[in-house]
Amino acid sequence: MEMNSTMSLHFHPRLLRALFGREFRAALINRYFQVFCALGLMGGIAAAVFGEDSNATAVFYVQIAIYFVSLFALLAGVGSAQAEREEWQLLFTQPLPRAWCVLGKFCALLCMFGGVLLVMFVPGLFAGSSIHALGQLYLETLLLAAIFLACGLAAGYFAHDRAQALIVGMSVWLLLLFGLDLVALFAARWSAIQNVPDFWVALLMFNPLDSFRINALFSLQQIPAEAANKTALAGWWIAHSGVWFVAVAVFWSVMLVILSGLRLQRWEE
Amino acid sequence: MKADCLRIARLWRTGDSESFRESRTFLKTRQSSQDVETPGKSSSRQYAETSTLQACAPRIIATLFFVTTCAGAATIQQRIDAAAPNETIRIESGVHPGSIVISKPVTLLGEPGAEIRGNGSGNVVTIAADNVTLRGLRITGSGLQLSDDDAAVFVVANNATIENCTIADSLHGIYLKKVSGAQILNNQIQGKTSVAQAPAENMTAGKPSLLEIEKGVGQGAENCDTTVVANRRGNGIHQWNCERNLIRGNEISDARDGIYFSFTNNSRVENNLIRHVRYGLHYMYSDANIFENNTFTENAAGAAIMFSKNMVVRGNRFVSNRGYRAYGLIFQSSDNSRLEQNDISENAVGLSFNQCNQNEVVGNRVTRNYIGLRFGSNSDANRFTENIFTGNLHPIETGASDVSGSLWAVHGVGNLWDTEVELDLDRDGVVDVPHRELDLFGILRRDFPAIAFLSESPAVKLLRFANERAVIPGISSIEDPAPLTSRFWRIRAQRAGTSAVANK
Repeated sequence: MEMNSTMSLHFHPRLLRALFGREFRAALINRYFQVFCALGLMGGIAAAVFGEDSNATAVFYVQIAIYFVSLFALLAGVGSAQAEREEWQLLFTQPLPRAWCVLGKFCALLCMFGGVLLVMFVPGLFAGSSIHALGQLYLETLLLAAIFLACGLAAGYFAHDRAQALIVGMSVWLLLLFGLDLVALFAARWSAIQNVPDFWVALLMFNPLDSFRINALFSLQQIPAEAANKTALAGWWIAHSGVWFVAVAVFWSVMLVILSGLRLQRWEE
Repeated sequence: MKADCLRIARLWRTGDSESFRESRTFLKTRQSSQDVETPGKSSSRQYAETSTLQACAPRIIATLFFVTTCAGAATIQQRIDAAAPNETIRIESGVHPGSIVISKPVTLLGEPGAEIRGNGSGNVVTIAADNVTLRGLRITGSGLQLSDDDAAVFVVANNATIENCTIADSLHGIYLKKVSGAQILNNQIQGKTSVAQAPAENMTAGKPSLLEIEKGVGQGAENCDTTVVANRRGNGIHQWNCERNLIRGNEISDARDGIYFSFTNNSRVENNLIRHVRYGLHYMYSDANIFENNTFTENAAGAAIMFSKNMVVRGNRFVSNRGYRAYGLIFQSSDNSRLEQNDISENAVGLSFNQCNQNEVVGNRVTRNYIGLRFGSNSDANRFTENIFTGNLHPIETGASDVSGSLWAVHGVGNLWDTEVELDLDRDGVVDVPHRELDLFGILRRDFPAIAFLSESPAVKLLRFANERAVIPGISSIEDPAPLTSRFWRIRAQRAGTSAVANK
């Protein structure tokens, strides 16, 4: 009831500015974020220097995105959600919709990631990569960051303390990065799974890291995929991997932010 | 002019009927004294074709010859038959009717826009004498019967030169049959990609249209992803039972196979571009040939070299052959050959070895393929060194084959692989620990093609990383005892420069 009343409040620009300002100030003193900024810049320079050609530079960025951006986005989300846990009582006194609070936090963090990623991708331009290709990769990396930011926020709001949040967040990251693919690799040997390849493919499609990887593989590395797209769903995925990744990113981000907002509401109650 | 008149008068007097029956009958005229070129004298002739008069009495024919000498145009065939050996015959701009049989050593030199057009049956130009040269001609309109080996240029004599010609609308482009010393230089050959619909009366008579015949034949192909018509096309350059030919600088497209070799030895194939065909190179039972700096791209099935030995394949580009089961380069039952400095990229299968022995594979780039290296059974004593196997979706496929019979490093120099850790403490460009390239997916690639979606997956990389440190039992892998770092070539160049300075 209370939530409905708070949700119905108009969202004032000053409120937005206050939320963003708060997050920016918090990020400036956040150790994870400082390390991320430094490593992001170093990674971008390394990609530009060590990439043999523009394509190799792009592939380097893909690796940075999969292993590094996803992890730090998740840690930033967890850290941001847990940092003000002791201030929640104070926060709950404010005439602020709880969902807006989470959404504002998410947007502010995403903006900061956008800036850092921009710094990371700029050196790639000096390595001869096309602006179009790098721009596309930048946006996709930002979407990947959005997913893991939302994931980190969700882990942070659902856990009871920072340690638990980190454990949950890291577990999810490892599961998405290694676990699901390992399971898929072994499951592929079962004839029951082999009889329904589209089901197997669909499971991979919903993993944001797999979706990002496949899109990068077949669009950046120009590897022929004819031998892989033997089913209708697989063919569709390869043909529309970019669109699908955007859809997956929006789906996961929105869903996790909503879950985080609801969880914050539960904490208040 | 005087020589021509004397020749005709001689014919008129002798009335040699046999010679007229054996050869085609011409009506010849002299257009100008500039039309004929002899080795020491530059001139040219112009001809037009008339009907054959095989049954006519020799004296009448000779009379006709004499009468028309200065009155009409002679055909190319007439001009060839009338030419002295080693003459150069200029073919003027415009369409000249085929078919032509060249039975003496002459040069046909086409002026810009000169075309010899066949009537849609048989060969357009048949080279039946040694030392014939075709230069600067457009040749079109051969027959389309694969069983008859119809070709735009059909060569059955030695030392032919076909240069700067454009060949189109034909079955085979250039067909070399049991010849040696041929030079095929800088030609453009475009296969016939469509045929006209058969007349309606054929359909009513119960015969299918030509188009339907094409489709019907093509549908049986299962080894490659070709268009239905491709199997009914001819080859760009077809060689059978030949020796010491030179094929250089040609551009071949839309044929069945770009260059077809069968029982052809000691030839060179250089700087050709073959694209949009079925097999860029289809090569069987041919030894000691050299392939250098050719590009085979965007073909349905790539290049296949089979049942041959003692070849050199150097500096070629096998790229973007992307059809299902297409290859950059397939080596099948071929021995004692050297593959060197080739670029094999963006193919369904980059390099395939099957039942090949004692080959040297040196300095090739096998990158960005669906499968980088497919190493089949019964291949031993092959030596792989200084190759780059990077960016492939599946670096290797060994199936269940035993790959230990081949050397993956020669004199302490292995190959460059995708690897997470390059441990090179002595900075010699050679990684200090062996590299094991894991064939993790194995037979799943065929049983479950969707497994490709796990390529480059962090999970798969994790398993590969683990396998590099400790062999995972039961999974086939290649072990390179001296893998290279990406800095190897730079370090070697620096050392070579240093030693050169020291020697000075």
